[in-house]
Amino acid sequence: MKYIIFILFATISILYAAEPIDPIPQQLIYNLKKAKIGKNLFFDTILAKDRTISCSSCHDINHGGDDGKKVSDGVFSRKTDLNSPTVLNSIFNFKQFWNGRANTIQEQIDMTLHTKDELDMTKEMVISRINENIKYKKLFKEAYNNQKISYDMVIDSIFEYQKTLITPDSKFDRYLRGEISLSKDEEEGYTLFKKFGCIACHNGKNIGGNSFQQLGVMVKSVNCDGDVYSTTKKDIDKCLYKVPTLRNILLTKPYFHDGSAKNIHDAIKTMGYNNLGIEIENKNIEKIIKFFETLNGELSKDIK
Amino acid sequence: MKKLSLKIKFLLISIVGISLISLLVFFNKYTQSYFIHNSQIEEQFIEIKQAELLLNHSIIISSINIYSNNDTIINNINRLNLAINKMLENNYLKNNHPKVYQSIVNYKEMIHKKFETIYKFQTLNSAIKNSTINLSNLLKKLAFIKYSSHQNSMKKFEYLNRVVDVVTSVYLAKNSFDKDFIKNLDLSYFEATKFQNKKFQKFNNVFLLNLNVFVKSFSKYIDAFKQLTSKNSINVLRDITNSHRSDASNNLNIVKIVSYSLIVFVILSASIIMIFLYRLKKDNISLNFLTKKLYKSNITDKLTGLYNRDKYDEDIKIIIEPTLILLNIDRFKYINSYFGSKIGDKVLKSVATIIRDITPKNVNAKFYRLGADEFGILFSDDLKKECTAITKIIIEYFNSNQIETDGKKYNISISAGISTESPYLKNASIALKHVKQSSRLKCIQYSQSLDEQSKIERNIQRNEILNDAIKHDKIKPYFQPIIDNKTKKIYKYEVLARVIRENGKVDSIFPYLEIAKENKLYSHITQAILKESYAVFKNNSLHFSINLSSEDIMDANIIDEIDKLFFSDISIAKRVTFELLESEAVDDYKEIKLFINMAKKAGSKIAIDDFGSGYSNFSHLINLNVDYIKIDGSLIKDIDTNPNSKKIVSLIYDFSKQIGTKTVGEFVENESIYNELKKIGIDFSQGYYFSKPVEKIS
Repeated sequence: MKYIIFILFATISILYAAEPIDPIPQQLIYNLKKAKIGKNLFFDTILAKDRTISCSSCHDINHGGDDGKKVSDGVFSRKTDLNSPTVLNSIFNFKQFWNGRANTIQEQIDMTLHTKDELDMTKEMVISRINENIKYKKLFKEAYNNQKISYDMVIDSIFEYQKTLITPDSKFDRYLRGEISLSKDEEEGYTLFKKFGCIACHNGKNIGGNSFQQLGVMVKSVNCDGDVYSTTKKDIDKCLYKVPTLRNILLTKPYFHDGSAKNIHDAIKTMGYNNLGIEIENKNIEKIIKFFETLNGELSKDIK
Repeated sequence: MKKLSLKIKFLLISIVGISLISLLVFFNKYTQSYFIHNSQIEEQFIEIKQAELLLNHSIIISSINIYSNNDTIINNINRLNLAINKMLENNYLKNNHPKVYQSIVNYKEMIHKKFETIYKFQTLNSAIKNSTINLSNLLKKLAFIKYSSHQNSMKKFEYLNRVVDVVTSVYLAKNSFDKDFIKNLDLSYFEATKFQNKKFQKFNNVFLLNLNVFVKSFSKYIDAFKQLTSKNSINVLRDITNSHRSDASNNLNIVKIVSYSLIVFVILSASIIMIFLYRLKKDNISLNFLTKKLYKSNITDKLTGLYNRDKYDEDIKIIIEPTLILLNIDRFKYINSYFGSKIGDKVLKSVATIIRDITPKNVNAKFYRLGADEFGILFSDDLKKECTAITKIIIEYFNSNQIETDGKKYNISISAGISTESPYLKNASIALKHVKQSSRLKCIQYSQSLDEQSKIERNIQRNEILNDAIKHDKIKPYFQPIIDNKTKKIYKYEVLARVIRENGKVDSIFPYLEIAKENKLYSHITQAILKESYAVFKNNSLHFSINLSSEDIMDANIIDEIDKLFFSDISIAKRVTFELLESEAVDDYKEIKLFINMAKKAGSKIAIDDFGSGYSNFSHLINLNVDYIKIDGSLIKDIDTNPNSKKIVSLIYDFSKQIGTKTVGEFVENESIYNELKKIGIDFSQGYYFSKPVEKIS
């Protein structure tokens, strides 16, 4: 009997492991006090040099976690080079930024603060601004039990908040957990997604975000701005980008690093041709979109 | 100085002890931390190794599976990274094994390069997978493309063949991870082939696209895969682990140090103990030497070099059945007094040397100086027979040789006493004494018959006491009443001589009489008693009796004294009775008769003392014309129990009646004796039943 149960479990685990997409956890453990500070900072223009924008300007958590623009606006109305990636579920990415130059969320926050076209801050500015603010002074003291607010504390609090920015319980996750079943179109869409080879890059719990892939591996793409090569300067890294997550994908148009795909239909078509070397028929694209619809999740818990 | 050095020693020992204890405490602490930290490090090494192996495993899985979850690889990367970082956060490792730490830093760099390669591999893996899948999908599609009739069937067939061949090669290469299968792929054919059929042309384009991607990526893919799955970094990690182990075991030098120092301490302690023991032994030896020396001087006679009396006393206890020869130099005191003690000493010295030298060496004899001029030779038991011969040799030597001292010659003779019985010295002395008394013998062996030792001793003592008493007028008269049996009243008193000893003890005179006679002291006693009695009785009217021996009667001085004191005054003469001792052998009755006549003439009375014992002689009694017969105490004492005594006493009584003499019974100790005497008709009684002899007459 024991043997049978063991085999059963073993089989289940093998099947589960064989599934290329995992559901994301419904909640991550975080420190509420710190996350609250993070949330305040996330929406506060205090972290922008000209105090005109906040994190939320480019990462609207209520609309897919990005700004819906082709490329984002930085301080002093400077244009950034790239399309803003979503902050939602970004904690599950193996690296941050399109070219993955940040290994962690903390690094990403630091870099974003320092980038000229983004927030254009310095460490000192951040420290002095936050330390001068009575509200933060009070909040940080409560959360960190420290009179002086350090730069690392600022980043840490935003990181803590980041942990709340996940979208569990999407239809697809619930399907993966065996709670519900997909509609015929959705299921066909998922099958096509795998059959066409999309799954080769878009896999894991974030359906992407766990490898670098070459944009236009079959047919070269024109624009490769801000690729991995831009930081490493190695030829092999040309047109290499971190595979973006497909969670909430329908909420984050326009698509690609340069926002060149206006809608999801175009994006699927382009990826099929440039990266898979196939022309995906419209009806199949529609089915894949149906599958994509199941990837929209709910923000786990809004912190008041 | 010695005290100080002792303190320093103590301090040193304390310091060594304390440092040893602190070393042990440190050792304990060190080893504890050592084992905790190193086992932790070991665990971390295992974790790193496991993480890397898992990472490699996930890479292999991702290369084989069509669908793979890259998260697994990323998770394993994170796990490995975390494990390495955790190791690098270990301060113990950083401080104690800096080389190992640096190796891990290098290893981390290596691993990070590996991570980069993994990312590249992931990219290539997707491309390879997709192109492979697409190629197979295309092959399926090719079967469904409809061909137009005018199409060259030969060309189509060749194309189909080539497509199948290419796809097969691709699959073979992919599944065997072998570049050789695609080495000779001829892409130029597909590039050159043009189809008028649009569908064919499109197929060819897509086919070429995927084929190009595969060919372009595969070589890199295989390289990356081989690099990733090689054991390079695993081996590096293994080397680091090993170097840490050897490094850690080197760090265990403290264990060596502690054990060495413990060994050194133990050896040191043992050496110190040995030194102390050696010193103690040395002290002991010198102490023994001193003791021996002291003992030797203690047991040696300084003058002669022979053993002394103390040694003799010791030896005599140890030797079983010994024989003692006691040698005495005859008339040595004359040598001393004539030639001086200096010569005397020299003579003693030579005599000692000679005695020692002429005694045969083969007999195990010991020589002692036991007295001023006395030497002892002790033999063990088996020489009893020979010792007489040896004694003779010695005596003979001195008889025939002169002793030469300071150029002068002295004639010396030696007497010897031999004893084989305990007490040896005393017995030998007795034997020697006999030799001295004898004019003929020079050597006598002790036997019990010679034993007059106690007698001699007693006599010496009594002689001293007696002498002392005479000198200090301590010969005193005691008075015992004599009772008239008819009236039971005191008739008269017998004067009894008593010796008052220095300690106040009062002794009867009888034990002293013999020695007194031997030493011519007897007359002193009688004189004293006569004088004292006179002093007591001259001023009263009491009757009394005085004892006189035959010696007294022979002594003209005594007779003169009696005459002067008693016979010259009739008032006292008629009150005195002289008791003559019948027990003594009376040789000269003439003298006694003269005295008795003299006494009778003066008006005094005569009694025969102790009649019925010894030489009692009835005929004498008749001749002597005595007034009283004093019956011997030995007959009276048991008269109430012994019928024979009674018969004799009765006989004496009858005899006394016939010659008209009165009778006195002495030793009347109780009433029944008294009654018996009364019954017989004895006139007077004397004894404890009435009174002891008393100092003063009341």
